[in-house]
Amino acid sequence: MVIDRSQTRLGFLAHWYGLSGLFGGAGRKGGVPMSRFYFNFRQGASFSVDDEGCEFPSVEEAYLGAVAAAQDMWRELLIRREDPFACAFEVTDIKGRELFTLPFSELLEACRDHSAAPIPKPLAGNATSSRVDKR
Amino acid sequence: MRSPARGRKVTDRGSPRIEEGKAAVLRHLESFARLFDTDREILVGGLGPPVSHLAGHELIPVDALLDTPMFILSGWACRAFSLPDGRRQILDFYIAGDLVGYSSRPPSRAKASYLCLTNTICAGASELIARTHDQPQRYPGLTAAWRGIEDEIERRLIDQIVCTGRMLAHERMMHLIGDISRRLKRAGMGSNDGFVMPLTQEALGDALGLSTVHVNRVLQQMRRERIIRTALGRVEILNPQLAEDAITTPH
Repeated sequence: MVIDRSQTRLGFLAHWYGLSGLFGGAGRKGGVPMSRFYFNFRQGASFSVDDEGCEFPSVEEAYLGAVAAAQDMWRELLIRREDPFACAFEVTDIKGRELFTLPFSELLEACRDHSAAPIPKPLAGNATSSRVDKR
Repeated sequence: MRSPARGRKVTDRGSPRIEEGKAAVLRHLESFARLFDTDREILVGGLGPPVSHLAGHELIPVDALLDTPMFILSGWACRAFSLPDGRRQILDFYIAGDLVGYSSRPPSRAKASYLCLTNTICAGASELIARTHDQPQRYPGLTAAWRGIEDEIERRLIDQIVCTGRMLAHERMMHLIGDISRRLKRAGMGSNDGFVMPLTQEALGDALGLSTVHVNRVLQQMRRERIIRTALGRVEILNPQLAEDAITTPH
């Protein structure tokens, strides 16, 4: 379903007050016009719609914003024993048009592209049993 | 050299916003020490004239002498440190009633800059503080309050280090919202129905060490779990116990 957020009450009020950020709508930052992007979050079968959005000057900046958030969230997902590979941002504009999808797995792929070193292979057996064997 | 506290003098000194700000200053000081009649008298006449500054104005630049302390009468300011590549860490927020740029150790310099996050009205406190320092026995309440304020600044810095260094994203957010709620209530500007928090996602991210999109995600999660409710710049804590629990250091 495509949601045209420019027609929602919150979108209208935010635009009217010229607010940005936590409760805001599209505005300007340092003279640069800002657009609102919605970072819907997919995690496995669950999908949470972003009804607030964030402001960025361009789609490219919004993509970098998604990357930064995925980097932040990666560590917390691991702490909660949740799989980052099952997560993705599906980003739309204020009209609900899909702009891009960022699977969290893309972060690792970016690292591999730039790494000359081979990926170390895991030892046979787990780390605990290896230590026990050495003793 | 331009004055760091340069701004526009407020002509309507009796406006409700300024009166509320002065009341917030009084409540803030009373939270640190019992004020005597002499303290109250000097407080009434000792504050500088209200001066307004636009959002984004730098009240005190980094490395400036801390010789122009001022009270915030309305609006929000912060203390922030910026890295050469533009990344910024907000170290502390200042709301109505708070004293900005105070140090009891002259000639101290600002280790970070003090910025207006919203349009802000301030009142100079240099003369007031100098007079109480000259006669501490005559102004025992205010003399104790200055010490209390410095103590609180140090406590909030420790809070900030623990928060950004060790807490998960939702804990950081809850910690910040809980702390601001408590401080606004102390200043007489918050209630159980909520409080005004005119911070952008970017400012929240800079304070909590999170990206803007992550801040957005955390706020939405907290709304979905009915921990907070937000609407047009207002925040209401629906689960106060959780907010209290997130504030780890004793107050």
